[in-house]
Amino acid sequence: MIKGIFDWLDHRTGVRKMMSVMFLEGIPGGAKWRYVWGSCLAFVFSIQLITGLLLMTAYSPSSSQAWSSVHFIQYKMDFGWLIRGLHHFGSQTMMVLLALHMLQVVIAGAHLPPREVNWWLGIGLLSLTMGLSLTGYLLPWDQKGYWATRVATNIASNIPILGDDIKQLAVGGPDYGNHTLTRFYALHVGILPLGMIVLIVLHLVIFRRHGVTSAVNPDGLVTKPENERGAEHFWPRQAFYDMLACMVVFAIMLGLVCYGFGHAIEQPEGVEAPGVLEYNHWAKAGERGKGADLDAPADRDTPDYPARPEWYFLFLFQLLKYFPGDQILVGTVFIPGGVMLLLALLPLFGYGPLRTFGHFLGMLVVMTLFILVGILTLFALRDDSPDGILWGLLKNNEEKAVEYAERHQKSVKEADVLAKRAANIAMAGTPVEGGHMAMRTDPKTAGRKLFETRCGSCHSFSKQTGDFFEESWIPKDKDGKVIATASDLGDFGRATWVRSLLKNPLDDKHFGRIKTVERDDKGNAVKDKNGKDNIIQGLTRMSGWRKGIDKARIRAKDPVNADEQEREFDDVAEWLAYQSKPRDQRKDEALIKRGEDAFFKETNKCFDCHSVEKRVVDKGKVTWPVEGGELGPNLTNYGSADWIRGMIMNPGHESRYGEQNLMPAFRNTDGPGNELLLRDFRENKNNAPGKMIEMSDIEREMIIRWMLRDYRAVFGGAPIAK
Amino acid sequence: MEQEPDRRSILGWATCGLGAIFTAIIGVPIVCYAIDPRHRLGPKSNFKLVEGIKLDELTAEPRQGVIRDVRVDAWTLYPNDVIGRVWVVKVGDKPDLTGDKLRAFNDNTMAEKEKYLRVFTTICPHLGCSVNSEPNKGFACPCHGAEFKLDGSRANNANPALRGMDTLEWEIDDTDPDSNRIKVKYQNFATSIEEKKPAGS
Repeated sequence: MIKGIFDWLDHRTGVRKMMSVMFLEGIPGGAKWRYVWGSCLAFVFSIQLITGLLLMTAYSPSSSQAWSSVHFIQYKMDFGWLIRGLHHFGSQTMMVLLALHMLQVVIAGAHLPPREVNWWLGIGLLSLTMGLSLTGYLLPWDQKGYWATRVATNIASNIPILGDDIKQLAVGGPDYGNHTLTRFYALHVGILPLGMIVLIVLHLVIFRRHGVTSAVNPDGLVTKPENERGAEHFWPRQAFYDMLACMVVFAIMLGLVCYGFGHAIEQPEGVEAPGVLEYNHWAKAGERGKGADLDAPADRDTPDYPARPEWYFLFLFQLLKYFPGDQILVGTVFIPGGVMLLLALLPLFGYGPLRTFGHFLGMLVVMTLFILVGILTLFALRDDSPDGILWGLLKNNEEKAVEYAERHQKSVKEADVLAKRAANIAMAGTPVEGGHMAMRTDPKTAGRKLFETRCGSCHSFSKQTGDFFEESWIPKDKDGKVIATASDLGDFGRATWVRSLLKNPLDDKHFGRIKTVERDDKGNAVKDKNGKDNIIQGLTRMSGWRKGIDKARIRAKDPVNADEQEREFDDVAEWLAYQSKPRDQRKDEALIKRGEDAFFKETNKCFDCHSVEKRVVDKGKVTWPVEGGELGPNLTNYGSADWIRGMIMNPGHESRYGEQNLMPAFRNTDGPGNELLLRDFRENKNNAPGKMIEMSDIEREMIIRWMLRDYRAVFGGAPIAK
Repeated sequence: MEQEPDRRSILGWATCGLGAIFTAIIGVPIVCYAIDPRHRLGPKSNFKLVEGIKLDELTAEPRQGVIRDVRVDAWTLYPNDVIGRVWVVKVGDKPDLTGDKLRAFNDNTMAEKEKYLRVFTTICPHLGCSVNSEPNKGFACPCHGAEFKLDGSRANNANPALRGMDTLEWEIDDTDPDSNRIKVKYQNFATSIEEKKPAGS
């Protein structure tokens, strides 16, 4: 019955003849393993087409959406990591297969007449494949692709006469952005694949005209090669060789994808990763780092990104280093152009009696080319590695070169850490402006720089953990002398910080660096003997308190027990640090009692100056009355985001430093309605004009998060102010 | 050359076999990827404050309120987007909500609460258009003419909608000292059917 249906179909379409043309092609000299490369290339190209179409159902080619859409595919779509991974490693595989195919062609002499046109079609296919790789590299709009494309389009602009026009057409205008992506996307999914398909069809049709180049059919003069002696059908032997080779290639690709080059997502505490037998273990394997790499979102505001092209273009990158300045055209246009021209001319050296010479020349040129490309690639890798490559065999020992390589590796490591952070915070979703905005508002990666520029002229910050992003900062002048005039905030609000403040308030870490101008009762500056303002220690009340504490321990009548008091200070420090938690999370009643008892004990002299909320339980109801003096800051919620916010926005307020305040207020001075807030603010006598500095709400909240080590994603995590 | 291709050769079978294995290995992930949207869960709905509704100002006429929440559009997160609108209809007097009575009221069944207020989604149960209020009559949908009474039931039997307007769960906001605001659990329901079922289930 199947035969009946097949007969019906064949009668109407001629499908039997089609199949016999495809599968019964005669191979003069018989089936050979070395003929598989062409089929492998067609196979991988088909994989690219299929995975490419699938990726198109989820990818968005806009500068604000592209990266996030690729992140979504990689981490949120079932087997998205696999589809994308195959597509990524497919392009790498095609480069390798192209080289092998080209090598086999020249070794067989298949570039020689009468097969010149097919050779040229092959060169066309090579160029289109490189174009597909170049355009595809940009599409994720990650740092890697963005900066590599900036370089590549700037190289294009060097082409004489037409260069600038070519660049503007490729970039889609004067700058890189939405139109660059849409153009590269149109090239990558439409124009170049159409060109590839047309050329592949022509390549195959013309190949069939002369048949495979073998010892029994070198000249391809026989137009019906299946009539040659020793010819074998394509099916089944060559078909089997091709299929097996394709399967090995696929296995290698799949192996690379499953080995994984992506960034793993840190699972939140208490969440178990899916077990091996669960669907999501495989469908969402991107979360474990499987699949292709995705760099951090492209951000034009990156001062030191270590831009490098994909490995198969490294040789061009290296070549450029040898032609600096106005010699650049040699490395970008003349040499690559010249090489392509030479390759194109190769068949012409094999006419008539020159055939053997042409054959030999082809092999020589292509092999030399590959060796040179290989050497340049190795040199590029060597220049980027301080310890050299190939187990130290290839190394540049010059001091400048080692320094360069070390700096490069440091940038690479930082870029890698940022990429991992970006992948993690994007799991909650990204803002509509794009992935780069999520990174710019990330307290963990942007906080330190923000601290340095906004707080760091006065404050220092000593890092407390080994975290990559938690770097110390201390302001220094051009001679390296420390010029900090305020406290060190690295440990602010923690029990250890408070404890050391109670021990030695004038330590540099606390109030030691704070100096102020001495003023008389009328508020005028007191001059020293040279006529300049007399500078004295500022914020001395705590050191006065400490002197009182020390005196009370050595007084004759009823001295205070030092050991007991030190323990009480421990309790106060622990309890004050505890104030940073919200009320409903302060559940350790023993800790609260110890701390409150110590704070409100007469001999400790805390509540004479400071107010703080107490936890009072009366008939099962909890209230929080505030008690204490008003000479120093109110310590209610000390160390919390709220307390720090008050300090940043209004340090001269009576609940903070009041008349003693020496810190400027940092406020958002822009925005509708702020004129009224500013007017009220200025009317407070402790906030004289000139002591206020502009700081946006987002900057302020990021600094607070940085100090509190609260690195939750701002979008999708808690709202920014909490 | 007359060598006939031997369809039954081992190599032939091996080639087809390898092809079949490859199709299976790549086919399964491809199909799973292609039907991925079917596996994506809708957002969890929580009780959210309704803007524009002050309980003390409600009359017999329906009032419209807006609900905002975090909205996720594939990869984009909108922290405070409008996710829906509701019609609020007062059917009875505001109960005494002092002291513990507020908590007791909120713990009631929906049937009990609906003796005071009815909260409807503005989405028409016919095909999803937004329903308008018809003064003194109830509600009417501008798309295909569906009409509803003030209590949400269908105004007549020749109604394109197969069921009345969909009610939503609600409770009184306990953070407002005047108890003047409500929180609503916004949901989408499947259209064009008689049964009131959450969408996508």
